[in-house]
Amino acid sequence: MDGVNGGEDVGARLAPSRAAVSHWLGQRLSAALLLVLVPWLMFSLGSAGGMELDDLRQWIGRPSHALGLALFFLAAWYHAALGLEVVVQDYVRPESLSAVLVLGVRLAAVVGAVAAVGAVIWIVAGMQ
Amino acid sequence: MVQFRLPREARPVTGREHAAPERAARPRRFVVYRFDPDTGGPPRLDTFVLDLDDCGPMVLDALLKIKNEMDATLSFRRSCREGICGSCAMNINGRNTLACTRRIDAYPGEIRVLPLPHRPVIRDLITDLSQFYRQYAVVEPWLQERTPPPPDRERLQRPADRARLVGLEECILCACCSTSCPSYWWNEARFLGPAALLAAYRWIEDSRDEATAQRLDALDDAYRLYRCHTIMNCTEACPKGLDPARAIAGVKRLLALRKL
Ligand code: SF4
Ligand code: SF4
Ligand code: FES
Repeated sequence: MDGVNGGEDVGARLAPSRAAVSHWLGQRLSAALLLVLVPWLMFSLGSAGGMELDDLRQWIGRPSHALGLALFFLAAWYHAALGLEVVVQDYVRPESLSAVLVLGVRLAAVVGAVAAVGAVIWIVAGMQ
Repeated sequence: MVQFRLPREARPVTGREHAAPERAARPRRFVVYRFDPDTGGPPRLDTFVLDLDDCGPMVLDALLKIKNEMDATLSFRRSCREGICGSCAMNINGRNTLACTRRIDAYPGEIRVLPLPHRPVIRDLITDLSQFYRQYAVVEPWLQERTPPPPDRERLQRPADRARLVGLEECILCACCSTSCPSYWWNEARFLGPAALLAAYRWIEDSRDEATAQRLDALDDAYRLYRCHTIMNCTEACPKGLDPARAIAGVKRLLALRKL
């Protein structure tokens, strides 16, 4: 008799995928990074409440700030992509659609991360 | 998308009412799930009113009384009536547990008895657990050795090594945990579920087993292991007081340590 969600024991016949531990580790490590970077960013930008656009540029232009900001964008997009992948794999059927969506999530994250880091570099370069 | 609701034909309707015997001193209502594959139609929730003064103390006693005296067609599994065979696992007032180790007076009012959730129902309270057993087989739950055993004695284990198996080896495979896990509901085809993963960890932790690396390889999979999101329903449900969620965390920890 078939099960309710997905039927027969595909899992028993498919070989294990192997790379799954990296996904899990990546999730934990990026979360730890964000745990430091998000408060730092909130504190810095919070105290910059009345900043003019030029002041903000100045702030981002400082090498340590630019580095922190770039790191934040990378970690945030990476973490978001890993999290969304889990949601897709949990709930989306059939598995072919789920695989396509996972690829889409990864692509979107790469585009987002490249755009964000590119913007930081662009601002820093504009300061020189 | 995964299926979140039962199809219409599988949603239970109100069934028959079997009244209490006359002069019942302590009447108690039991609402029991009924499904008969031969007559077809949707499952029913039948009500049986028992006199607790004339019934054993456990929920299983009530079911046996119903079967013996009120409706002989009621079907359920049971064997040991002392929480060791795992046959009588069912959903009582919303929780998966063993009918034979639950006291009737632990529940305040009406007692609702349903089959284990999210399994195909064969008849009444009997569900199809073949997928659950196949998943158990996937983790190869037996001692695997590479070196020959000592010629003059069995493979010995130090007391400290044996102690590591406490809380892992008492599992009676009742399926209360796996069938209470939302991740298992959505992904039963590929997620092994807490019971099989607890068994896997039991052999990983066994000092005599020599297949630890292969066992970890077999679990390093996005579906088999990592569909577990530490929801902890499994630990909450286990009628033997075991902690499958902790065992799963143990497997994840070993995989991470090996990677780093
Ligand atoms: S911890 Fe939660 S997700 Fe993991 S197996 Fe147990 S119930 Fe399922
Ligand atoms: S871990 Fe507990 S709930 Fe799960 S199958 Fe074993 S005894 Fe039953
Ligand atoms: S009858 Fe054996 S566990 Fe309940």
